[in-house]
Amino acid sequence: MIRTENLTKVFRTDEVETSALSDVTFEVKPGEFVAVMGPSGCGKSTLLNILGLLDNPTDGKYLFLDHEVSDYSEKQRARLRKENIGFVFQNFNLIDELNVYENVELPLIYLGMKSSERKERVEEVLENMKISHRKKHFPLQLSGGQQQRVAVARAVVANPKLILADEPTGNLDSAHGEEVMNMLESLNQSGTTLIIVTHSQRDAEYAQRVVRLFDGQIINENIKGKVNTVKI
Amino acid sequence: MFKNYLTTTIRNLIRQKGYSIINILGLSIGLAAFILIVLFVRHELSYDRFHENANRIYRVCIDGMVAGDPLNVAVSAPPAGPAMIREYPEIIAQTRIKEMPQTVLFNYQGKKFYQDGLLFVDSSFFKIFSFNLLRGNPTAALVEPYSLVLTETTAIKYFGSEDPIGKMIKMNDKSEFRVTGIVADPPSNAHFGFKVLASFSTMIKQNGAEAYENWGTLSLHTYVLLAKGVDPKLLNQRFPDLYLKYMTDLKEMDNIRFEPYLQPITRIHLHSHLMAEIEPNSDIAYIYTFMAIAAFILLIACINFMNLSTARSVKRSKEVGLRKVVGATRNHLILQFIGESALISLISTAFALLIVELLLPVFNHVLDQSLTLTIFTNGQNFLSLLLLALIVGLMAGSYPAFYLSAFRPIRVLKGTLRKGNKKSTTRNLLVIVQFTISIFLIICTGIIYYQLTYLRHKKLGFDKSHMVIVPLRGERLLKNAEYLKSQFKQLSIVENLATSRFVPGRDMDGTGYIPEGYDDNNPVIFFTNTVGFDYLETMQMEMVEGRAFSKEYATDSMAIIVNETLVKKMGWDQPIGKKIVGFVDTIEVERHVIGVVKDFHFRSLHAVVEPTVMFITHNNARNLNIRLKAGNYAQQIETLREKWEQMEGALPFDYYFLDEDFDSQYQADQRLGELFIYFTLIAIFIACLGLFGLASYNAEQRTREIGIRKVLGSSVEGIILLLSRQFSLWIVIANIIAWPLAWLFLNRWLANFAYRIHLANYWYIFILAALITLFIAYITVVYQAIKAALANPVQALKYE
Repeated sequence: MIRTENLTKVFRTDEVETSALSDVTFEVKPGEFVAVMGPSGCGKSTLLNILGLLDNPTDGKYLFLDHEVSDYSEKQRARLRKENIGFVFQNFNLIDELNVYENVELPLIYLGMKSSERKERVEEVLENMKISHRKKHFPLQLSGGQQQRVAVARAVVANPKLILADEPTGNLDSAHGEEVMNMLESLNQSGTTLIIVTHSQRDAEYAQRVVRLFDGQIINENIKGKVNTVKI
Repeated sequence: MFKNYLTTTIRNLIRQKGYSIINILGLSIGLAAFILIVLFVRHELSYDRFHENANRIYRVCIDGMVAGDPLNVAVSAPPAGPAMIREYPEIIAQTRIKEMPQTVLFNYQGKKFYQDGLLFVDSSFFKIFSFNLLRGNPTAALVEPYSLVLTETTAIKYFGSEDPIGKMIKMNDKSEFRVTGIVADPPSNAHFGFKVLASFSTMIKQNGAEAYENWGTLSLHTYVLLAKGVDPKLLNQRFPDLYLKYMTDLKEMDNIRFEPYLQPITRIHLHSHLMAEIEPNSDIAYIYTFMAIAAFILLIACINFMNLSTARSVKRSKEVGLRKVVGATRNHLILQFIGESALISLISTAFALLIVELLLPVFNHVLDQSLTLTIFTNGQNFLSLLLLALIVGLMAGSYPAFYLSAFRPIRVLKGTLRKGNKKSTTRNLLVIVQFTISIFLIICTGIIYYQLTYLRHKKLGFDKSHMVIVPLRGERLLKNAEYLKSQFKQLSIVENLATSRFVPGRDMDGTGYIPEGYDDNNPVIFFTNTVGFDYLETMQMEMVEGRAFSKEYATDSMAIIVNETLVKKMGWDQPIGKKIVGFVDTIEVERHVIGVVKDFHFRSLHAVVEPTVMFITHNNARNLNIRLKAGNYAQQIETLREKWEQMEGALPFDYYFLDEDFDSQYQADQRLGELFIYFTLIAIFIACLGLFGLASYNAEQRTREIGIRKVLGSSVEGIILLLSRQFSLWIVIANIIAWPLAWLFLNRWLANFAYRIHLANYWYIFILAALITLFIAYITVVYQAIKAALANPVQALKYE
């Protein structure tokens, strides 16, 4: 599903050059649940953005569904993105002006789906996420856990092959966090590939594999129960 | 998808009430101003186009030379029109128009009115012009002498519900006229209006045909209708021969030249600035000026919209980023934002229409117009308005749309989007444009005001205040002039009085003379006023040399007084005693100069002082000029009226104040000035609205910075200074751009006046404009700055 080779990302400002990722090589197979961990500033989010086709790498290869996408234009990436990837963010990132239903509906609109089909699909997802009683509410009227459930609903509504979650429980208390993680786990069990970035060991334990990043490099891959140390 | 955009737009508008109000209010006012000006401009451009044959109607004007001076007049010789019909088959109809310079006394069965707006016209009047004849026969109504065609309003005034056709009206207590037709009131977009039309054959019957055979007098307006497909230029080339054929003695006068040419009727109102226009015209330059102002105001309103939209971009950026993350392309977003601004523009247009509807009466009053909003009755106008709304939406929305849609999603979502001031070069530039326009308008308003004040207060060479003019109409009053004068003179309120043919501010005739040292065949034209004794004293004109008329000199009936300009032009060192030969009905009359009067302005200060002569006659006393002592005008007029009624009770007492009448010549300038003030205020208001929005945005953006600065010890004043410094710089730059533009424009405008202020003396208006804009901007900004500066720093820091 995903394969990177020597992925590198360098941020340049006028005078300073910061290397956020260097020579990251790893693979995610379809149906896998991978957690990316590491201290603040280690490049987790940068990696996730590149994997999510929100950004281009500075160097290296990135094969997404067998497409070499590292030099795709924003337009090409946008197409791949909307058809294949769903996002969940730490701070939910719902559009405040749209209500729950409309927020979840948005990806389908951009896919050009007919209104009746959309309605059916959105209702179904809201039902699954146990949030349909709140569909007329606006994000600011919801609790954090509810907002994140809406965000997850929005991420899955278009049936993406891959879901990327950036600290999905970071802004939630433990009860709500667990609820969201259970939800993600069940999505994975029904076949969706899942990559989450997290600080939380508890969240990471849901994953089949943990990738540890430090200063932009993978230092350790941990498949449940067994530790592989990668040479630096 | 459209529904989704619409809901986002509307919810955004509701959530951000402040911005929405500023946007919609600014755009509504801007659009309202624009619509008002367009209504006016369209009306001005429509002049004389209602005539069915508008593109084939021409006025015969004369381009010529008299005594070496160029002469360009809107009038032509009485025999010219009929001769053209005879000589050129391409001209299929002509009508001459003779306007009565003064009101005439109409009497219908004891109902007496001083009737204005009387024109004597040829019978083909209705063949040429498409004025709507409601009753009567268009080809026959004005054939017979003593025929009258009344406008609807005039007919009602005299006859009420009676049928006017065939009724007799007595003019000036002398001749009886028969009403032969009723015509609809002429539309306001005709370059001349009228209330009564009388047959030209009446004049021929009264004065004899010979009176209208002189090719040397230019006294009538002549209009012709050309056959289809005739090129007026080819006709123009043949006209000089016409004069040579009919005015054979022209050949011998080598410094006189008359060359008729055809002027399209549709160009008269805005492009014609000849002498002896039938009515004062407007000027295309005014139209351009107003259109520019309209465009400016709309631009300012659009800039507000752009600035506020882009300034708010941080707030909208999250939405942009998310929409992109879930699959929106840039085109989707551009479409969304342009659609959004189109919607706002449509809402604003609806409000603008409301504002126009409310302001139209005021606007009409200032412009002396009767413009109406025809949006709802005219499909084409409705569509153009819709188009305007969409264009404005596109204009205002395109920049924000491209700007906002270009956000990169990760930067937005990570919160690393550059905030606030750094990326605001375009915004700053747009604010500078707004203030440049405002400053330009302020300076123009100031200078126009000073020029108008100058016109009103410039010494005219006579004193126009405390002067009441009583027109004397009809044979009886003309004969009684001396008696009336002596009776009024006994009143204690009267300081002085005298009769005269002409009154300042109204037209004065030019007549041919042969001054001493000039050849018999080359008459020179001098403006001529015939006056009674005491005229110069009454008007308080000043003598430079010699003396005024006096009853003590029996010879003064053969005396003439000239003005300084005439002396200069003749090059006389010793003007007193010089001989000037004039003509009374082709009989030569020799007069001698007894005095030189200081130049006085008989016409408006748009025109230069022409060589002028005055002499005494008693049979031409058309006006009684009365100088009142200082006192209560209303009471004094009552006293005059009582006296009048004792003497001439059968006739209504009619009068006007000279200063008001004279100043009414500057009405068009006055209107321009007033409109400039109104539209300048609107422009400044809209610009400030935008600045207010921008300032509040700025303060909001810098909340954290302000908090940190305050924690580090900055004072409230320091913060205010910090926030207002940037705006001051913009305004200084705007001034630097606006000054030369205003200077150039005003120099051109002032060139229209023969007498004008010197722009350089009014340099302080420019400085004042700078101070005013700085002050207004400062007030606007400082409110936000103080709010930000006084806030508790902890709140500011929590903001992140």
